[in-house]
Amino acid sequence: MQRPVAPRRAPDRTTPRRPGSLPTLPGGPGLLLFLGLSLALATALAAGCAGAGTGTQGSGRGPGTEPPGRRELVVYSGRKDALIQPVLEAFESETGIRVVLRSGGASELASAILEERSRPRADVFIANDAGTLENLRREGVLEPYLSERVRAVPEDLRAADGSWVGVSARVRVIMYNTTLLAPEELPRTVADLADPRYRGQVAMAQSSNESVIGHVSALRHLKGDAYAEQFLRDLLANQVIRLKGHTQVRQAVGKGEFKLGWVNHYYYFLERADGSPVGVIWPDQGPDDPGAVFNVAGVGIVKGGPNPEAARAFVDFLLTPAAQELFARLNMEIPTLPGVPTAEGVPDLGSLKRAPVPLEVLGRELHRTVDLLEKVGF
Amino acid sequence: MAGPRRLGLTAPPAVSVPSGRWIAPAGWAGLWGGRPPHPGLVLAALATAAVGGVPLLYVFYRAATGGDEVWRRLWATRIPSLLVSTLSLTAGVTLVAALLAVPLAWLVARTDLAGRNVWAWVAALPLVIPPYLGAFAYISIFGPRGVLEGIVRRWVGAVPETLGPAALYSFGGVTLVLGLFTYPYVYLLVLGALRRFNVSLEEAARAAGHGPWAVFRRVPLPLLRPAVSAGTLLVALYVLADFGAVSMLRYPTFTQAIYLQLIGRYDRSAAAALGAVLVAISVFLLWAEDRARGRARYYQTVGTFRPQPQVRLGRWRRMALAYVLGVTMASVGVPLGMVGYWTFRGLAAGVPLEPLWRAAAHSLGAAAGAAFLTVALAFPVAYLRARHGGPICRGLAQLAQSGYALPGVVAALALIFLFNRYLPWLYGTPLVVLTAYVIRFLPQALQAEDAALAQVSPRLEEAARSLGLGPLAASARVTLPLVAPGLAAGWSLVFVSGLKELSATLLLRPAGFETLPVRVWMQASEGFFSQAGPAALVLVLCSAPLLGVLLGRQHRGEGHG
Repeated sequence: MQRPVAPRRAPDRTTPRRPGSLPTLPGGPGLLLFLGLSLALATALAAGCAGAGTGTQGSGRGPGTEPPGRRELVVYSGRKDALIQPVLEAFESETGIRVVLRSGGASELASAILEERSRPRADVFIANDAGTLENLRREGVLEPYLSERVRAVPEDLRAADGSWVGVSARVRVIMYNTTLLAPEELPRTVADLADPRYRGQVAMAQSSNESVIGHVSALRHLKGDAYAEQFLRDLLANQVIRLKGHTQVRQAVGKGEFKLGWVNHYYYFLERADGSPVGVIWPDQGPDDPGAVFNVAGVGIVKGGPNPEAARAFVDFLLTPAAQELFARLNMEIPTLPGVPTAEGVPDLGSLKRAPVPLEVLGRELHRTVDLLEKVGF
Repeated sequence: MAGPRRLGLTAPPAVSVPSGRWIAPAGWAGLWGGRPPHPGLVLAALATAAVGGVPLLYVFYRAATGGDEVWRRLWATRIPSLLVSTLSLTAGVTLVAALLAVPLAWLVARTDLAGRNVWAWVAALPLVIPPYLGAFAYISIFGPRGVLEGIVRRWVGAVPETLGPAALYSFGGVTLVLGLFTYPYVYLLVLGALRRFNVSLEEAARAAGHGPWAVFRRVPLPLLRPAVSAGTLLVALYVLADFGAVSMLRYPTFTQAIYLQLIGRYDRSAAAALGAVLVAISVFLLWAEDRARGRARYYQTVGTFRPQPQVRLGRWRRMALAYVLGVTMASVGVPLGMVGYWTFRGLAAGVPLEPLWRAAAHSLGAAAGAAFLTVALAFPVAYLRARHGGPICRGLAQLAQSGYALPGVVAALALIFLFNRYLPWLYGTPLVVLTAYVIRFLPQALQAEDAALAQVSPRLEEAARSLGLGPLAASARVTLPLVAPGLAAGWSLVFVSGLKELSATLLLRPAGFETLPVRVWMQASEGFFSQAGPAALVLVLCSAPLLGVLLGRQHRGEGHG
């Protein structure tokens, strides 16, 4: 015997319903189980929050249960954790100031700092691109700081007023696959990348990448807008491939998918460390060439941050020879403090011809450069 | 009463006043499809819409501060072409997901497929695999110098164009890969619907003299339509918002343009203007889905539930098994194999595990808390829409879902804006992360609850009320238990989505609040995959058993008579 389904239009008032059957409908006990499970997990969350509040932080550190020292520094960092953590630890052990690290994408964090302007949360901001920092300076969210140590950094690698300072420099280079290109086939300058000889063989990061934008800004500054536009159009005509980021570029070149990659110099070292057959070209070093384009990872003090004193101590700390050596070792970068030794195979500031581009230009020209990239269709 | 009287599927009249209790002014009643709801319910739904609408308000605020110069500039760039490529990808992935999911759900729910209970669980697993991991697995196999190329090179020689990178990075390749990792949204909802499915309806149709195809067309098809359309909607909105997987597969979409504005230019106004375009698309999709479902309402009384007879596959049994095996190998086997390999190498290299457990605790807590909140918040809206209808309900539901198609970064900036300015004492707490999950995944709970409610007849509640229960008690005692599988499905969807969420978490997490995807991202974004392995594996392991529990309890629900 089965009961019919009640049709929607003609309710069947005669169908007997047993009130007692209601609680035992499917789902009753399961619902309780489900609610209980949720509550249990929510409690676990609350416990987790409490744990986070007492100061466990960043990867690679032990459980941070030290008693509150009251002195604190909030760092927003766009660098990979493993590349900044040792530096932060050195700072903590030297000064006793507790570092609270929030790391993520540099540009995303810069947007967060702008969004937090009415109530700043960060003390310092570490970015991988001078353009990002200069853009924040122009927005008025960075605090100038021109200490003696900041002044020791070459003027083109920092803001004139000390709102930000480069702590490690990177060079825009061309890396190549040594099994696919013979030495006599190699490009010599960045301009060569648009040469039809290399049609479809060049990979680069997509145009939202800060290093790419910075390089185009530098080209515009060096040779003018018309040149930069023509170069970009030639690159497109040459079927340059744009990948998600430099990691994808270095791997594609390492695997031989493309012969050439337009990257920051340490990506070449990373790919070589993975065992790939790659080589590097330090471009534009000839007597008539402008020199290689530089960029810096740098630090700026956030205006109105909660711990201004610790922030200043931190900036000075990053420019000590010891910290500078850490940068050189951790990521094969070039110390911005003259005289600090580089890692093996990496040229230092003095031995590489550097294109005459004050890095402030990267921030000042950022919008016009993106306009150009959009116009050309990158 | 013996035997079915007539097929229990009819569309309700636009206005039906079932009992004398609903007496309200005609204008007010008209706004609610003739049946004004309990005011408490309306207030709760309003609160939900307010939470879900935060990103929308932010986007319009920021876009408005940019002025119309922003629009002119943007429209002159490649945005129109990006729009076309994005919409075609969305359509393609949605179609692939539906085509993969519906047969899978039917095979495990209704046939004598060998090992169907295990397959039911395995087929849902891609849900717990972040699509960017899946995309990466496919790149390492089909990509240049990938596994496939190595094998083919050894045995055949050159790799044919149709198999290698050219195929992977084509429209078809990207569509297929994304379809493989998004089909569970459709699968879970359809499976839930199939298991709640009342078999006596089919018998009635057969008794009325319909052949098997006509039966299928008249009974299961319309009954499954809400689940299918709800699931495909989730897939479509996901594709619109995704950045990681799509850009890894080298397919240009609209989110890339948003990133260029936000990341390249720090132009939050332009990014917001583009975000508004995405919101407009998603509102259109929500509206279209609403329309597709139409005014038709299909209810089943679960009181007459009987075990469903299995369809005997006969000589098709092997073919069915091959199909299920093939799909799950592609969507589960491949990425898990890769994650397992990474983990093996990572553990061999001595990756520290202690931070991993802390990250797992954070991930589980945040995802579970958010899932709980989301299911609770979504219920009033879903209930209103299912039981009352009318323009207000539709508006509230659309507002609550408007933020889903926005990339996580935009949603995160909206929350920074809101919390830092107006709720500063909460800023920098895990609650902000939780709120982001709620906002981003509200539509998942809503769609699941919608699909469940769509199968429960309001007659049951009316009967309970005629027996003397108040309106809220009637909902709580009758409808709530009946839609519990739908709530559970919604909870599990939000839970695993929260577990996978990366872009908003990165920006909103308190210092030191690491989740599993954050750990994976930190290693994998720089190419250190073996170090990312253990975190990725724990991420999958955390959600996989839960999926089993939820599927299992759906399964038990089918046996009631």
